[in-house]
Amino acid sequence: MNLWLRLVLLLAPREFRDHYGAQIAAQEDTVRLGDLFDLAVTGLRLRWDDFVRDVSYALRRLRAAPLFVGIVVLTFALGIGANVAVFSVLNAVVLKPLPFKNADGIVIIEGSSSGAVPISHLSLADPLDMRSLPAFAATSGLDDDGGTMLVQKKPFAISGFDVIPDYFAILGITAQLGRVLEPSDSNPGVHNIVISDAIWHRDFAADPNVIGETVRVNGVPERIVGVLHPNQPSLSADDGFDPQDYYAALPEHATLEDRDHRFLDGIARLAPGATIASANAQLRLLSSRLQKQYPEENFRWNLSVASSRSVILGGASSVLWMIFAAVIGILLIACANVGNLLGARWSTRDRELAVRRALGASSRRIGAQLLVEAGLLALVGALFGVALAYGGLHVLAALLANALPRASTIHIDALSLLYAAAVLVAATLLAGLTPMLSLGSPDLHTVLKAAGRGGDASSRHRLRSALVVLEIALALALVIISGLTVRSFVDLINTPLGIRPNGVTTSNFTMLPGQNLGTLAERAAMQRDLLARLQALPGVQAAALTAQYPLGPLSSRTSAPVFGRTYPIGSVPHAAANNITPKYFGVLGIPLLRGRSFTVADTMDSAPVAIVNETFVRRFLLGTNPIGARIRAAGWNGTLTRWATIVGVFGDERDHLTQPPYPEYFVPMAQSPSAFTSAIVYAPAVESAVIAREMQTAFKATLPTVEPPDTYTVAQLVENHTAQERFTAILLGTLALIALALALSGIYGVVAFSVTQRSREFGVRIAHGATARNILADVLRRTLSTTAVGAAIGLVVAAIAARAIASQLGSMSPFDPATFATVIALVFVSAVLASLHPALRATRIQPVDALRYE
Amino acid sequence: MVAGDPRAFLPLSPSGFYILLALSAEERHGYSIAKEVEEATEGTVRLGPGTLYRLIKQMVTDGWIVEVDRVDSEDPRRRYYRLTPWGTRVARAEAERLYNAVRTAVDRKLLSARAFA
Repeated sequence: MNLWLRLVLLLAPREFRDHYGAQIAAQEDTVRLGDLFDLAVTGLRLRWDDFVRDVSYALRRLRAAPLFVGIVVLTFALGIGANVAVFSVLNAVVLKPLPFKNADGIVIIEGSSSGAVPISHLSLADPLDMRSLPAFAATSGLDDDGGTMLVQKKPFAISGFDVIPDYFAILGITAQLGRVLEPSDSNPGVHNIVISDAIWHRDFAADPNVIGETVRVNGVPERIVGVLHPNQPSLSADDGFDPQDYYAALPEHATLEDRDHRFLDGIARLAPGATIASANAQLRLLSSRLQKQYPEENFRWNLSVASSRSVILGGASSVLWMIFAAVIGILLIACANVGNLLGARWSTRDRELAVRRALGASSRRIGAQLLVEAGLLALVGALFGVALAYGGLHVLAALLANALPRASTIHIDALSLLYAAAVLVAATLLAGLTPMLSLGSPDLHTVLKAAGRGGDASSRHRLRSALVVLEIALALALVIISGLTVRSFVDLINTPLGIRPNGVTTSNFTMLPGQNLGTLAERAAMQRDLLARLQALPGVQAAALTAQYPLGPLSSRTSAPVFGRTYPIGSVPHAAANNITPKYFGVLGIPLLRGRSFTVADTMDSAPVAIVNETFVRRFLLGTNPIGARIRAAGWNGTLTRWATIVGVFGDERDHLTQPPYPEYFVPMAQSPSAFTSAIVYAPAVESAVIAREMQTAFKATLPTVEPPDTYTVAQLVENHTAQERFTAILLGTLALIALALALSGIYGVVAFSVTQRSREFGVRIAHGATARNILADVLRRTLSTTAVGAAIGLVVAAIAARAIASQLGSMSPFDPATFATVIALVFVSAVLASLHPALRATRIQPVDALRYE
Repeated sequence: MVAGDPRAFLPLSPSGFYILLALSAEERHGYSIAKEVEEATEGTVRLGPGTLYRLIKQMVTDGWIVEVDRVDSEDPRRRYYRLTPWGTRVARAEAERLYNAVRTAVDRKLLSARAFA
């Protein structure tokens, strides 16, 4: 036959082809192009007619079974909705390219010390040193900054970055007005900034003449030289893509002292043709050269670069892929459930189907009808599911925003809908094909004979059980993984911090106003005034000022050698440094171990003193009396680096939830007034919202030109530090409950159906003297053996999955026996509970009724 | 199925009516129906194979025509179709409908009576 004719005929339904194909072929000599077209249109039209018939048939059937429709639509809506929501998050956060031009060439610079002290931040010198390497087109460092911007005497709180100006070239950021920062902006005495579009609108009413205007940022006059484009994302390993209000320039010259002061995030752009591997090869050579050139400052200091994508999105990516795997599992459970429900529903129509087959309906047509029914249910489920996803993402918005980078870009977009369509097709096939397999092709004779017996064909029973096994396995694995995640989260938030958990309120740090951050005397005066006001607040038992507070945003680590000791190169003590007022330890409830705390007698005029923590003593002063030893305390922002005598030792406080306490030393704020300060107060009897307001009032009174800082309780600090873990625990926990509920409803459905199918058998057995206990045991035994097989498979899946996520579980073992045992018990108990109702029904079957059944 | 008022199916599509007309005199196979229709309408109605067999299929289902047990001497793949009495009634009803329409056209002087005769 003519090839074209044959191809075009394929468009028509098989029945038409079988019946008329030969006749059409008989006239192939006369077939013209128009005829081929006519055949194609006819084929499609016949298929469409069949489809419309199947749809209206399915609708008729479904309208008669509202309960079935409700259960299936709800199941599909949960499965598809969870998928669409999680896919939308995954797509926006992980799959989309970074929001910069040629983002592949952007890398994050990392520094690590192969010595005792790991430090991830860079010194100002590091990115400048890297400029000589041919692998880089540009390198930059940036520092989180922020504070108060004074526009026409009105204070506005702002956040910003201090950057080496190549930052803009690396990311391809341009200005909509004026210019971005240039190397000349780094020169001493130049104070130029660029501001964001948002600030331009909020604080300057989008005034086009803003360029050249001078504003005060933390008291320093800065000239605005440019306005960035709207919603311009930033890039840093710490802050992800958060838009910044302003950018100021860091100096492009590093002193020897700067080499040891590591606080910058580093980013770079690879030169054309360079790769991360070639760049790292060059960095190894550079690092060893610098180690020789600066044996003390660069001791064992190694620079490397990593893909910006993996550094910034890596954590979110592994969490989101894990959650994505979980929702795929839920979809499979949902499809298995619906498959079983559809199968049970269609198998009760055996007789009708056999009659229809005898009348000439092909298995293919009956299969098509089943698929159309499954497809319609999946379609309605998908519509509800997308609505559910939309609502769910709204409800979760706050949780997402804290936990994930660029969460504000999460939307249900065209790609999400495309994904929903793909899931809809997959769900239809998965849920429709299983019952189709079990329909088989029994002929009229066998069916009519079998129907009288009221038994369930064993092959079908096996298929249904296999689906339930699959559901139990997936649900068990999911519940175990979520159990592990939730437990590790609970462990994390209960990490002992070394400070009192309740009654303490901290304020974020505030830059003190004044030209060049004020003179030391000015700072000391402001701090005295602020502390007095805080102390006088009603209900405050103790108040203190500190440069840094536990779990706060700042940390400065520096070398702190002990006087009179010589250290081999590289083993000079490294410690966190902090400036505090006397009641710091009292407010936080940190115990005094030796010596004394600071007092009001420690002033600018008295001998320099210091306090160290327990870890400092253990690491650097072991075996000696720490009291009286002297350490070198670094000075910043105009304060002096001096030898200070240790007068006290206090217990450890933790700066990070996941890291052990770090060696730390403290100097009195009065002797070394920092340019910025945080407040901490202990007011156990006052509500945190009230004390927060009062603290801000105190700040306003002392510093009228400064926007008062945000305040946090210790619980809020912990919450801020565990946003991603909280998000993962809540989401996985919810998904695991959904999975378990679906699996249990699957067990219930199968047991109930099987009891109905076997009611005649049970009736006969009861008539022959079987007791209720016998019948109950029979039904429950089946459930338990199915559950056992499912649980065994689920344990293997869970073990593999747990190993894969071990790194996200913190200190917890991925095979935590308590979690595994609890979940297994939970699954068995709930499986028995789910089958109890139909099982009890089986015991109440009246022999007479059962025999009358047919 | 073969009962009731054939007027319920009116008006027929022109193609459908011409197929019934082609089968009114004798039983034919599909290709011969198409040729007959083309000749009878002087080429204005051409039935492509898709349209033709789709209509045949529908008419068989509705009981207007039946497939007859007859082997074509030229090509054994051909199938012959014959008008059923019910199909004849439907065709007649359609012819009457058209006849009445043409008479109305004459009454309204759209057509001359001569042309109609």
